[in-house]
Amino acid sequence: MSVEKKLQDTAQQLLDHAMAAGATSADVVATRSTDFEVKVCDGKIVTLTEAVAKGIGLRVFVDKQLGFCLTSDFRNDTLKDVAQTAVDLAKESADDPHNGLPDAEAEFSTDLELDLYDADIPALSTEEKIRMAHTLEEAARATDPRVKKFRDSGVSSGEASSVMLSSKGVQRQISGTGISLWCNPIAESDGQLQTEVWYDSRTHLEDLESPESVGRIAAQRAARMLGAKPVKTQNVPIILEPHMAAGFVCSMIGAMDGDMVFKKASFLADKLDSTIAVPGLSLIDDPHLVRGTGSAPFDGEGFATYRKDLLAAGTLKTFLYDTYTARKAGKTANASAKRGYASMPHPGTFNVYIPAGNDEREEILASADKALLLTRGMGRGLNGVTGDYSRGANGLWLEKGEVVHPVQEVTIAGDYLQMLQNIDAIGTDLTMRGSAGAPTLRIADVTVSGN
Amino acid sequence: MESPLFDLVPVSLIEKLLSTALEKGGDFAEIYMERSRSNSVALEENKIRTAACGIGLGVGIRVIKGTEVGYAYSDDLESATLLKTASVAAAIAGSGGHNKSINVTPQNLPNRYPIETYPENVAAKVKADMLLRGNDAAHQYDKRISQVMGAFGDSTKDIVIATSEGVLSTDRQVMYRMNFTAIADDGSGERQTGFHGGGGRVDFSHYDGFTPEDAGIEAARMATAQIGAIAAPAGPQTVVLSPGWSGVFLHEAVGHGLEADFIHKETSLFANQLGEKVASDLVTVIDNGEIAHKRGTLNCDDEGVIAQDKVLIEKGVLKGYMVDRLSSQVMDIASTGSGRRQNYKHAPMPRMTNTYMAAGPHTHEEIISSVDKGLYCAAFGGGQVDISNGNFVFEVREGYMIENGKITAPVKGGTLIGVGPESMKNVSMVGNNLELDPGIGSCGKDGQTVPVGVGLPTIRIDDMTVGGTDVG
Repeated sequence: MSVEKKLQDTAQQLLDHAMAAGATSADVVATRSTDFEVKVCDGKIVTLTEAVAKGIGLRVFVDKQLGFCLTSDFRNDTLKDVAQTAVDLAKESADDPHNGLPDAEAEFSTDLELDLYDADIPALSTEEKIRMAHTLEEAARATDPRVKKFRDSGVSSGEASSVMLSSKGVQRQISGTGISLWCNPIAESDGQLQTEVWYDSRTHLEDLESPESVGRIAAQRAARMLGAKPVKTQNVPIILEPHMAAGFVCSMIGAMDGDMVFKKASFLADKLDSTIAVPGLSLIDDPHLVRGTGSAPFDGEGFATYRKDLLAAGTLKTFLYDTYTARKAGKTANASAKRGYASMPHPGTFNVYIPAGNDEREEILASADKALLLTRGMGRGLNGVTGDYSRGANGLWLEKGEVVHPVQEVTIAGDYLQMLQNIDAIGTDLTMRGSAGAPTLRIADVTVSGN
Repeated sequence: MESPLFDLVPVSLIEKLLSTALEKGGDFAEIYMERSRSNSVALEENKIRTAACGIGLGVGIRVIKGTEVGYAYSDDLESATLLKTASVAAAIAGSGGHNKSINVTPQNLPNRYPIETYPENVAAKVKADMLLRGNDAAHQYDKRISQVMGAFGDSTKDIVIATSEGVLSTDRQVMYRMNFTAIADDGSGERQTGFHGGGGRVDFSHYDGFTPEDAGIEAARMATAQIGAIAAPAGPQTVVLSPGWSGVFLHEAVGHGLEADFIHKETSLFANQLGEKVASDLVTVIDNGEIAHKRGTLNCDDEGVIAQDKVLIEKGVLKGYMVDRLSSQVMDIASTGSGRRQNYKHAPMPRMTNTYMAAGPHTHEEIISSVDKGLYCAAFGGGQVDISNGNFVFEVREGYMIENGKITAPVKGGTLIGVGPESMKNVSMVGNNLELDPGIGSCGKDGQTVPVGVGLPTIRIDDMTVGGTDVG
């Protein structure tokens, strides 16, 4: 029996138990994955982990009351127990008129060819993955003599299948593969240690950045931080490398959650259809990127997904709604439900990116008399309720495009909406890494606190 | 020795698994079995949104050869599957094994968290009513409270650890946690949040003393107190940290850097510093896994070693590290019972338990009145540290200006940043009012989250960088 068929059967079993136990309606997500990870350090294996893991989550409604249970134990007695417990728990929750499965099932076609499964990944031998892990480290070592130590380097890979069933007849399944490389070297000079992580993560082996390249970039990034020191407290332009730019802009996605907006627990609550950023800035959620690590043909409630403009030319276009939050807010669910077996549906995104702008990276770097190029952040950053932004930062101090010295032990802070309005350069160099992407961004007049 | 897990995997099978795990020539093998049941009740918008439960069951098998670790886990407890899992973990050793039988003997453990009422014996209804009480109290505290979110979570985890050295350990680990988040809205568009909660490896009766009303009101107080907060000052400041949860400062500034894996790999700023002065004379730092009922407390760690009370820094001098099995082997020192893991899916590593600074000579009032101009951090959010260069940050959730020795206006939450050893040398006053946090902390390391405790008396640190926007 195929993995999918077995999962379907288990999911159906749990669903049947739930209905028999008194659920009015229910849905189930079941997942099975094969996981592998090898971590190396100093030419030796630190840990080699292999496993098959599984889990199933059940959401039940008893009229308008909600209960949820999950288990990694698939034995029939446990499933029966879990179903009864979920129904019993539902009876302890409040009657909420917005509870319940989606009213209508959206049209869903399986024609979409997202190409999320690569047979080469399960076929990759343990020996080859160990070799790749060692290569990461060797490449980093060879790049700079000051790279002498490592926290670790490694390869993780796996495949996963999920099925989703509801008592209204929704039936979905998806399988995918993934492989990631990371290298975490430590550069040392004059008693100072500096560490950086570089990585790549793909659904297909052939798309993966080579271990040589990941190791080399990691080493360069660690070594260039040697000699880092704070700068004086001042307001300057900051320039964000693509991965930092993606992190900065995507940090507002939590505040686009329709639930937070409805509760007025979001600084974006009254900003729909308002211009909140410079006209050059857009933000797109595209669940249909071929081979995308965040791609999915359907959302956590089974709705067909589609591409959404979150920000278009600086204007906030939409919030994110699953069925429950949409009903509560008087809106329509927009295929934004995210759900693994361990959670109930909640609003979220798939692959988000900021489209490229017109400014060459080199020009952006050279554009200011002095600027801080951000290479790494520490801490949370955005307070999604108040819109205040404050984060620890590492980077390079630039004067007229030349690196003067690396910077650490500083923070950047500001009013987030003001910072979005102060973006004054958007690079041509859009780079996707995992399920988020951005080009280089420059933000004018940001407070950098140092000494 | 009892554990419900022996009904699923009898001791004879455990012994067979250990023997199989060493069949390729491993030096050491360990079986970690876990069954957990967790419950949660969530409140939002003045009503119980949902009640939920989770069941986890699995076995992790670790084999060590030299310093290399093979790890495999399974959530299927059939004996054939487990034997295969043991073989997968065994493969790290390559070849040249032996086939010897292993017998395990139970070890006696202390009981640092005796429980009368287990979570499964408290009805969801009781927890739901508690959340509703906290919700009402928060709303009644101030009419500007616009939203209250509450959660009551608990878990009971049974673990069995068996090693090829013949030691068998069992433990039942209970955890309770109740917390509230309040949002204050002043009607003009300004919103602020407050948070409070607590728990630990406590009996349910803990909540007779630490009531939902206490927690709800404290969250509401924090949110409303921040309305009208001014921009935080930017740049170096004198900073005073409040007692209790502010111990997250210690956790980040020195705690992680004293975990032995970073020490023997010499990737920590504190490597090779034993016996050296790493902090001001006022600073004594302790990691104590023995304190009754605390969130970071353990009878034994996740390698079966009894968790200890250890002095890390004494009067500014570095005295010791937090050591797990693998580090103990590499460094040739004893384990301190610091090997912890999130669950059976992970190999253990050195972690903190309850980390705090010993009380000092000053009163809270003396410390505040000593500051002409500075920042008082009444409550923190989370933090993070870069072990190699010692840079750490933490988020101020509730802060105030100190002017001429008095606490004055609230300031917007900002980020504080420092370098571990430097800021520890800049600790210039330590209060006589040590408090441990109310039991809400979790610590993440290499993708694994474990519950921890922190503690601190009021302390003054000179020259911390505050990430505000007021360059003034």
